[in-house]
This record gives sequence, structure tokens and C-alpha cells, in this order.
Amino acid sequence: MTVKFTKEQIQEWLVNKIATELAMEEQDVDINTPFKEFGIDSITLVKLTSQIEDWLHIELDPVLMYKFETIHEISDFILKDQLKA
Amino acid sequence: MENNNVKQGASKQAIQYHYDKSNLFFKLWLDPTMTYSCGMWENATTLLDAQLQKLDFHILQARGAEATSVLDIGCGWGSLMHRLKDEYGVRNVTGLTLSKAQAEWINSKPHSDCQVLLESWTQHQPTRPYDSIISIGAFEHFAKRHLSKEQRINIYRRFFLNCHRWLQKGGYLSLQTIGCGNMLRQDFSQFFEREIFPESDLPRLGEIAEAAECLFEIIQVRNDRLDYAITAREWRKNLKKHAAEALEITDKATVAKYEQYLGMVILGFEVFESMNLYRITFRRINKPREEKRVG
Ligand SMILES: C[S@@+](CC[C@H](N)C(=O)[O-])C[C@H]1O[C@@H](n2cnc3c(N)ncnc32)[C@H](O)[C@@H]1O
Repeated sequence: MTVKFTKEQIQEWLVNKIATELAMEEQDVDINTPFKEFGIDSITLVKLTSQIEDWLHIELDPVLMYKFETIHEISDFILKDQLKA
Repeated sequence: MENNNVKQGASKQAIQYHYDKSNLFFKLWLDPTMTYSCGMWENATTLLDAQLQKLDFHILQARGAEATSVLDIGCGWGSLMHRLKDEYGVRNVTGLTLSKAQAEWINSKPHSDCQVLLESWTQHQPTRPYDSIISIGAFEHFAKRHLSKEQRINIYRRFFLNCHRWLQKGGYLSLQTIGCGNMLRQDFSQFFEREIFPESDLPRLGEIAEAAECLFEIIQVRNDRLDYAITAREWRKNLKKHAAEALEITDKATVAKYEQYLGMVILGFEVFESMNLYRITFRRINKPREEKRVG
């Protein structure tokens, strides 16, 4: 079963995870800044992908974190993907 | 003795750290034949098809269908050996592995009359020459990390010298290995080295070619890099699908680690282009011009 979340909830969740991973304050994690500018390495992005999948019960390909480069873009994608499911 | 230190390649302990984790764990996410290497996806739609097509490709390249004896170097859980026996009727099939769990698995199969030896290619001493040799996804373990290029080529040279010695005149060797792509040696992931495949390193295509000079003629080279992204994607999907069962076999940290590893494989082959997947066909040169370097 697919659990539905709003775009804001997805964004908040990602901000929180990234802030935790990178030991940053949540307010410093901008949703329009490309992941690579935060200095996130590929392993962390892959880990994040798995966590999103487990949280939302969806399938998410690790390459999507490279195709969509910001929290904003990936949340948009996930939202559309959820609506499709 | 070279037992622990398989002559500068991954030691038995390092191989068993990965492959002896649990046969049941690997069974959860590999295809039913338990093939643990990149599939061939050209006309395949399922992981099983892709693996069988890959096995058939190597058998064809190595002229295995006409052979009466075939050596499989790094035989995993025996999928190629079984294919050679059951589909091609090859009389004598020998496989080498450093994994005890894999050898036990193969020996536990009913009507398994393949010969599996728990020994390294560096120690193998066949009594009779083989008609064909196939090695899929094992070459990555033949050289430890942090060796010089020259040391690596020397090890690979020894591999080709052995294969040359073990093959009949004009025999074929089909090799599949991951190789360095758009990657410098310092880019090699610490995570892979520490957590996934200790004591292992990737060759460059030029190193393989140099090591085989005047021993084998290179007939064909394919780079099917994207095939690995598709294969790893399937493995990762399977592992996620069977996460609950995986947690009964192993712990949460291990499952997470394997998900990361498979995710990184997808990125490496598809996004970063840091790794290539080589399928190389070699024909034994009958009168080698010179015996180079390694005696
Ligand atoms: C990734 S698995 C591939 C197995 C199999 N060829 C397949 O495609 O399913 C690598 C295999 O190489 C074997 N291996 C690694 N180093 C070896 C060595 N020095 N001699 C013989 N086998 C070795 C391992 O034990 C393992 O069976």
C-alpha cells in the first residue's frame, strides 16, 4: 500500500535527514541548492534513496538523486510518482 | 606457503568475508541460478534470461560446446558448470573457488558431478589440459589494492601463463571482468575496500592486454558497462523486496550495507562511468614469441 504524503512533508523529511547526515542546522539546508553543493557524497545519497523508499514504501532508483539535483526537484518527482501509484 | 596470501590477490579470508556470508542471503536477491556477475541484457527481459544469455555467450566464445573439458576459474555457486553439463553435455567440468560455502553448495546439489576445488588459480595443477577456460567476475580479486601497476601486470601475466599452460593448442579463454573506467586509482571507494570486497582491485584494459601479450591473441573485446547497472538494479530491487527475510538471516546493518553497495554499483556504471564491464575473448598462441618478465 502506498502511503500518501504532501510535498511539504517530503521536503521537511529530506531537510531533516540531510541536516542530520551533514551535521548542519535545518535552516541552513536550502531546498533549491543542489545536493553536491552541500558536499554530500554518493554513498550518502544512495543511503538517502533507500531511506526514502522504506519511509514512503515506493521504489526509487539511486540515479534519480543525480537526475534531480535539489530537495525541491526530487520531492516534486516523488510526489508525482506517489500520485501515479 | 601461499595459502593465506594467494600470491598478492585477495586471500581466502578476504574472499570468504564476502562470499561465505550466507548462501541463503545471496539466494534472496540473485537469480535462481545464483549467478553473481553482470548479466547480458541485449535481448533479455528478466534477470534469469540475462544470466543464462551471459553464460551462453562465454561458452560460445570459449568454444565450450565442442569441449570435453572446461575449467571455470572463480566458479561461484556453480551456474556455469551446471549449464556446461546439463545444456551442453560437457564431460569434465572443473571449477575453482576460494569460498567454502560455495564449494559446499555445489557439492550438495543432486547429480552434481562437476568437480569443484577449493583452491586458487595460483595453486591449481591440472593433470590434463583443458579444451576451454572461462572466468567470470573473478579477475577483480586477483590483485590486492595498493600494488604498483607493474606488480598488477605481473600477477595478471602469471594468470595468462597458467591458462596458456593449462589449455590445449589453439584453445580459447573467455574472460569477464570489471575494469577501471573514468576513474583514477585514488578515486577507488574506501567503502568497497573496507566493507565489501577487501583486498581486491580493478584492472585497466591496457594492463590485461599487456599481460596477455605473446601468450594469447585477443579476438574480441566488449564493454557492456550499462549491463551492470541493469543487473545491480535487479539485485537491489530483489534485496529490498526480500528485506524482511534478509533480516531473519542477517542484521539490519548488513542489509543496509548491501543496499548501499548495490546502489553504488548502479551509479558507478551508469552515472559516473567509473567502471567498465569487459568481456574478452582470447585464443591461445601456440608458439609464443617470448616468455616475458614472470618466470
Ligand atoms: C563474483 S564471484 C563470480 C562467480 C561466478 N563466476 C558467477 O559469475 O556467478 C567471484 C568468484 O571468484 C572466486 N575467486 C576469487 N579469487 C580467486 C582465486 N584466486 N582463485 C580462484 N577463485 C577465486 C570466488 O571464490 C568467487 O567464486
